[in-house]
Formats: sequence, C-alpha cells, structure tokens
Amino acid sequence: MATPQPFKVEIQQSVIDGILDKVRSYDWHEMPDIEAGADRWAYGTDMVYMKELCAYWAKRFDWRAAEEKLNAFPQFKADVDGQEVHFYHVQGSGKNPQPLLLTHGWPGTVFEFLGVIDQLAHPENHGGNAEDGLTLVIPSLPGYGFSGKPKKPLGPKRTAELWNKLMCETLGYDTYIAQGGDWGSVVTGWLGYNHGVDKQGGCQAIHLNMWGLRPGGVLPETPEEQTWAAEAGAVMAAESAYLQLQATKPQSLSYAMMDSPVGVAAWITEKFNTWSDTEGEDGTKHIENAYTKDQLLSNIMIYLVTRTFNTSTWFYRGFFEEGGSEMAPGTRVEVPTAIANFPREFIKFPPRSMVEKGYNINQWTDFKAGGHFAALETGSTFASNVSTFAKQLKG
Amino acid sequence: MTHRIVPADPFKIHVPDHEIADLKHRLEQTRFPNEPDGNEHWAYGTNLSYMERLVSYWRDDFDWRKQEAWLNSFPQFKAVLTDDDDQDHEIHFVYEKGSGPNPIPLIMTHGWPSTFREFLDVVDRLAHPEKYGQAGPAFDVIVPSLIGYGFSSLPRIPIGPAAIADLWHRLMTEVLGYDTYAAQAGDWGSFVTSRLALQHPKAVRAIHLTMLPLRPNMKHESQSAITPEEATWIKEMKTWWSTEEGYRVIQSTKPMALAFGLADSPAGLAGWLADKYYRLGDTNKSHEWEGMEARFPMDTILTQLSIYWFTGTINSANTLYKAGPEEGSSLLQSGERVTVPTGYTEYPMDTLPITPRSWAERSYNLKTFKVMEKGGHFAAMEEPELFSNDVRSAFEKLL
Repeated sequence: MATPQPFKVEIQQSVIDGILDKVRSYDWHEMPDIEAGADRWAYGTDMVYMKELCAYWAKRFDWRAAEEKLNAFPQFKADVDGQEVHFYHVQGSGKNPQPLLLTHGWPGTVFEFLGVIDQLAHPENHGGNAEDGLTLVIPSLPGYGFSGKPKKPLGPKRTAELWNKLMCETLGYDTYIAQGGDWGSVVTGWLGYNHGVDKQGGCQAIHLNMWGLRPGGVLPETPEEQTWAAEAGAVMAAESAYLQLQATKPQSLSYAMMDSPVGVAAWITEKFNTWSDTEGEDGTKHIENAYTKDQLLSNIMIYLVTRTFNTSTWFYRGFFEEGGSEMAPGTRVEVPTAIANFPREFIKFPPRSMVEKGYNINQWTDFKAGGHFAALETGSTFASNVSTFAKQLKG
Repeated sequence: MTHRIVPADPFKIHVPDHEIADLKHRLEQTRFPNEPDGNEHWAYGTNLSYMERLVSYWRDDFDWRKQEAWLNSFPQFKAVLTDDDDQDHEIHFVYEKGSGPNPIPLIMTHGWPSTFREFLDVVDRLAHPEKYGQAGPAFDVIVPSLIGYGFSSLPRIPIGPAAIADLWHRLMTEVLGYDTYAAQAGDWGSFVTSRLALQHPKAVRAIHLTMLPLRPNMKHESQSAITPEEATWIKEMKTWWSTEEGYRVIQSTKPMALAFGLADSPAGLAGWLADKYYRLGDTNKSHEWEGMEARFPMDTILTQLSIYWFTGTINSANTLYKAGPEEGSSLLQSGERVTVPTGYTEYPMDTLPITPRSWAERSYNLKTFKVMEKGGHFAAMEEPELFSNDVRSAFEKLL
C-alpha cells in the first residue's frame, strides 16, 4: 500500500481566469414571469439570484482566500485499489483520539466539513475536553474534487470498500466511526453493513444525516410510516429529475456543464436552495439565510477548477449499476447507529419504527433547524451531535 | 371564407453577422467533457467522438447563410394574436399555397427538439404533388413555429398545447381566412393537434398523427378492460421510459436549473439535443457516429441546432414540458374522445414496441392505422418522400 503523499490545493491562475472570463461574459436570457410574492425558484434556478451571485463571483469572490481555507488542514492523496483518493487527515487532541471518517455527497465537496474540523478534532478550543478529540479523515468521493477521476462510473458500495481500505490499510486504524449525509450516508451505510467490526471490517459505529442505505423488502406499515411514504413519494416526484437524469444519461448533460461555469453554478445552486433550511427569522425564505455567497461559490469552484462535474454525476449511474441501496431482506446494520434528523432534509427519515428495521439505533436526534448540508448549515450543532455520539461509544 | 381580421406580415430570417461570429467564437472555445469507458453506443448519453465531429463541422464547415437562404426560399409570415390571458404571441409560420383550384389547408406542427424546419422537405411535395408525379390532393401547407420555439415569440408566462391549439385555430381562421382545415403532427405537435381536434371539431376536418399523446380516462364506463396486448405494450413502454425520461423529468420540473448551461454553450445545447435524434431517429446504432450522420446529415441537424441557438429559445422550448402537464390537457375527461376522423402512422423508433390499435381507438376516432418499416420520430426529415405520400394518402381516406 502506497504511502499517502501530502497535498495542497494550488490552482493555476489561468484556470481561475478562464472561469471568471466566462462568468463575466455570460449573456443573460429570459425566464418566465413570476408573480410578486410567488416562489421565484418555481421553474428551477431563479435568474435574479443567479445574476446577483455571478456579479459577486466576477467582482468580489476571492478564490485564493477559499484555497487558503482548504489548505488550512493537512491533506493527502493516496492510491487505494487503483483509485486516487484525496483526503484531509487531522490528528485529534488527547491521548487516544478515535478516528472519524466524514463523507460528503453531491453536489457537495469536502468544503462542507471545513467549519466543523476544529470542534471535532480539538474540543478543548470549544469549551470541551481535549480527551474527546477525534482524528478526522475526510475524503473526496471518487470522481469528486481533488480525488482522481474513475474511467467509468462507480457507486457508494464500491466506495465503502475503498474507504475501509483507506482507513484500515493505508492509514492503519483498527477501528473507526463513519459519518455521512447524501451519498455520504449511503457510503456510510455500506461501511456499517459490509465493513462493520462484526464483519472483520474496521467500522465500529455510524452516524447518518440522511436516509440512504435501506433495509430490503421493508414496506410502510403503521399509519405514521404510510404518511411518511406518501410524502416521500410526492417529494421525489417533484425533486428527483436531476437524479433520474444523472443516473441514466449523465453524458447528455455533461457537454453543457463542462463548457459553462454559470451552467454548473445554476444546476448546483438550485439544490442548495431547495434542500436547505433557508427560512429567515421573519419567516421568508432566501438561500442566504443558509449560506453566504462565498460558501456557495467555494463549493461550486471546486467542481470547476478540478473539472469534475461530469464524473461527480457518474456516481448516480454507478449506484444503479452496482445494484442500488437495499440491504438483503431480514438483515440490518449491526454496528451502533446515530440518526441526525434535520427538519429541512428533503429525503426525510421514516419514523423510527421503520429505520430500526435497518439499523441498530442508539442515538436519535430531531433537530429544530437545518437541512441537507447539515455540517455546513448548522456547524457546531452538527459537530456537538457527532461528538456526543463518539463520547457515548467510549462508554 | 371567414373574414380575415388579423394581418400577417411577410418575414425573412436574417441572423446578424456578429451573432454568427459569436457562435463561432464559442465553438472555438468549447471545452469537452471526458467520457466513461463503454459509451460507444451512447449508453451514458451523447457520444464524445460524435460531438467532437459535430462541433468541428459547426465551427469550420457549416454555412449558416446558405441554410438561411434555403429557409427563406419558403414564404414565411408573422402574425400577432392576443390570448385569453391578454398575452400577445407573435406566430411565425411558413405558408405555401398548393396547386390547383381547391387545395386542402393543412397545418403541420413540429415538436421538441425540433423546429419548423422538420417539415420543409415535404412542403413542396404536399403543396405541388404534380411536380413529383403524384396524383391526389394538393395542400395549402401551413407550418408554424410553436410558441417559444424558433422564430415565434417567447411567452412571458408559459402556455401549453391546449392554449396553443386555440391560437392555431385563430391562425387558420382569423389570419388565413379558412373555415375548415386539416392538421398533421408528431411529438408536441401531436398534443397541439389533438387538442385542436377536441376544441374545434367543426373546423378541423381530419387529423393525421405520428404520435398518440392523449390518454384515455380508464375509469370511465365506456372504456373496456385493458387487453393483454395493451398490458404488454404499457409495460414495455414503461421499461423504455425508465432509462430515457431523464430529459423529460428535468424539463417538466426544473427547466430553469438546466437553462443556464444550455444557453451559454452551443456544444452543450447540441449534446442535450443530439441524444434525442440518435435515440428517436431511425438511426443505425451500431457505430459511434456513422449511423447518426447517415440519418441526419451535419447540415440538417446543425440547421435545427442553429435555429435554437440563434433564437435563444432552448429554455422556452424546454419549458413546454412544464407548461403542458400543468395545463392538464393530455388526460381525456371521462367519456371524452377525439371525434374528428383521425389517421395514425407509426414509424419505428429505437426499441419502442408497436402501439396496439385498440389503444389508439380508445382516445381517437381512428380511421387509418399504419405501421412503417422505416422512418423514425422525425419522419418528415428522415423519409420525406415516404412521409409525404403517406400523409397524402391518409387524408384521401380521411376526407
């Protein structure tokens, strides 16, 4: 197993300039009229907001500042089974910090976790105890960000295999805790299911903030479960187009996206708006109640500077090619599982009665605020919940 | 004749030089994606080597002025109609008067991802059959650009096929002065044409379709139980759609998530649309690009793409997929049926199974039903002679 090589993000100025030139020269077009007071995102991405975002992008966004944030923590690249994996590796405080593997999803990146690294690794800086520090491993999914581009689609089940090797062989840990949302929750589910300590893997516990890997053959039974199923079905009908497209014909989308930075920004920003807790104190919704433009653009820019939009969408196709996200009927994840249920998550957890059929739950938290990108949206709330779980596992 | 109350102004296409230069510039700057191993037969979507060939031809060899002159060799007009919601629509249309004393007025409507150009290879054949040694009726051929497509106007508030059908009726009566007329179409045009027949059955004498968009209301007592043949067909269609409908689902829910990229990148526009020509055209799919280019020569497909690009209509065209379903006009009401005599011709497309005749009869007063051995979804472009002869012979039976 090759030794991980230190890595820093250093993007050539010509790459940044090429992107910004295209943003500056974007030729704006029309969008359907939206009545005053109606949802400006009803047709997809709001053009008024895109103009505002792009004006900021072109004039004020500072990639070098974002790069500095990305480089504030130690990064490495390692070859894992032929896949080049980029990851953060942050040593936690205390005598014996337990390793924690954090996995992002689409259209996120490792950027989602930058804001929680210090609190998780060094709780003493945040009013906690240094002995509760966790050693963090935060990889970029295959085909995402600074990881290598696979030659053909691969999915979360295969990624879990790579992650277990990364943790146990490349980094030499006996056991670790895994956490994830979005695709990260599916990868993390597979880690618990296929690579748990009960199965000679290293994964000792998992923490999920999305309903990813599901128990096979389980149908909604109770009235609450049926209500959840009906609502989840309606949400998928309205929201799953990107998924259906990326899971079937990612290449038909790629020509536009790989040629248009604003196109990528619009495709991704729509998701951040729709999937997040964007409600302000006055009850009105705006994407910047959840994120700053710098946050949105830093994440988008990672897709652009690495030219990974296309390969990131392949993960959907890879997911279906490897057989989807169901456990064998009658089986479940046996390692201890924490569920972090954020209210604005669009792929909602079913009632606990149904989740228990797939997971050995020993922590369940219903949050008051937050959505799909929980680490980025709620920061310390998310980190405290993960820390609490890790502490509890130590007994 | 109905009194003509709305004027139509002659129209010629002229794309300014700077827009042609801008397109060329964008094509020169194109940054292509990578491609997964195993995409030789477009399994993951539009093939990269085809796209490289297409973009290179568009940039270096395609002569828009030549295609523009050809488009302008057809008499074109624009007329403005105000709809019931007080929205003005400027309708672009080709209007070729037929030979002889009594040509049949025929309005032909294209769909997505097509334009009025789809029918131009058959305009002369239908208007002047004698020039092609064909007996039978001649037609006054009217080919409009759908609202939000090509040289028609972009709606401020998207409208669906039922609303477009009312505009088409007024185009035929108030602008062109016909009392009665016939209609022909495929794809979205077949929705518009079916609605035209439902909404204006006295004026529409007969329709001929190459796609059957209306769905019967199976809960109504007049509908007999699904036959085994229909059940098999429905199942096969669902299987086909499960891997093909990504474009439809995104365009029907979040067209504006997609619009920014397609409007910024001519290669992106081409990549998005070419997949449909490949998949739905009667293309030989055994090679990365040979079958596609044999079926849709570069000049042909690039004229279609250039119309989308120069008119900036990809977003408004895609949005028909949202406005259409929102209008709720594809499911027939209980007991409702198209009473106007209807002809249907099915052209082979990809691996789609043949529609059972009984299914067509549930929604339409079906008088002719024909299955072709070649042709594809864009039959008027793919097999102009076969298509025009079939349309003529269908209307001979229907009228």
